[in-house]
Amino acid sequence: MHFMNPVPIMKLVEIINGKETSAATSDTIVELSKVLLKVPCVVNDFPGFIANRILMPMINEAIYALHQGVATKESIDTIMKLGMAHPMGPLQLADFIGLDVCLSILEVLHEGFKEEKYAPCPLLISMVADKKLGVKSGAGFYTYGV
Amino acid sequence: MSTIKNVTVVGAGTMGNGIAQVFATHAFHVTLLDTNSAQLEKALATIQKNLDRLVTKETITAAQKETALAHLTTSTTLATAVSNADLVV
Repeated sequence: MHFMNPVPIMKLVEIINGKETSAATSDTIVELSKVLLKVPCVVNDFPGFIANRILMPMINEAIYALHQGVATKESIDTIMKLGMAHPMGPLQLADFIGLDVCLSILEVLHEGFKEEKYAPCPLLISMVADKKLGVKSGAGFYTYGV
Repeated sequence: MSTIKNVTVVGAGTMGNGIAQVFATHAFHVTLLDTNSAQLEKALATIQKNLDRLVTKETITAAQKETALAHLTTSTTLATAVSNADLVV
């Protein structure tokens, strides 16, 4: 069961079926998720499952765009918020998730698939090295009142 | 779902305390496990605070909050924590 943060609020649960997972086990966990008033989606066991496999490259691309000076952080976030009807922009979301967590997930994808498209942006790597981790450290792409 | 009653949640960080709260709110017997007892205390305080907020917002009643907390125990030993578990998250 892969819950989303914050768990009590987010409706989604990714149900991960491994190679040895029986249909009965998967079905039990699907039904259990409904008892918790969550919406289950069954996914096979690949690096990043579905949620992180799609979200993290998007966040990484937003960081690359900022890194290359394509647009300001505010523009990048506003474009994705208003243009794609996302509740928050990718850079703001990365700050909420934690930049160390984003980096670690990208490394799992990069290692797991051996594909350069998952390589973490150098800006993300240097921000994590500088302990700029997002909301929890008081600063990431934006600053937060501590 | 009658077969699953006891749920053990491994790790009392950001995800673990949220997962424990959701199961406990839905009347599962939850054992929250962490090797660090300070982390367990912090998690319980967070769950209490979150449930208090839900009571204030009238999403749940004070009685439901107490029931949820009564369904929650903690452990620092993996073997003990999972000995009676129907499900480990």
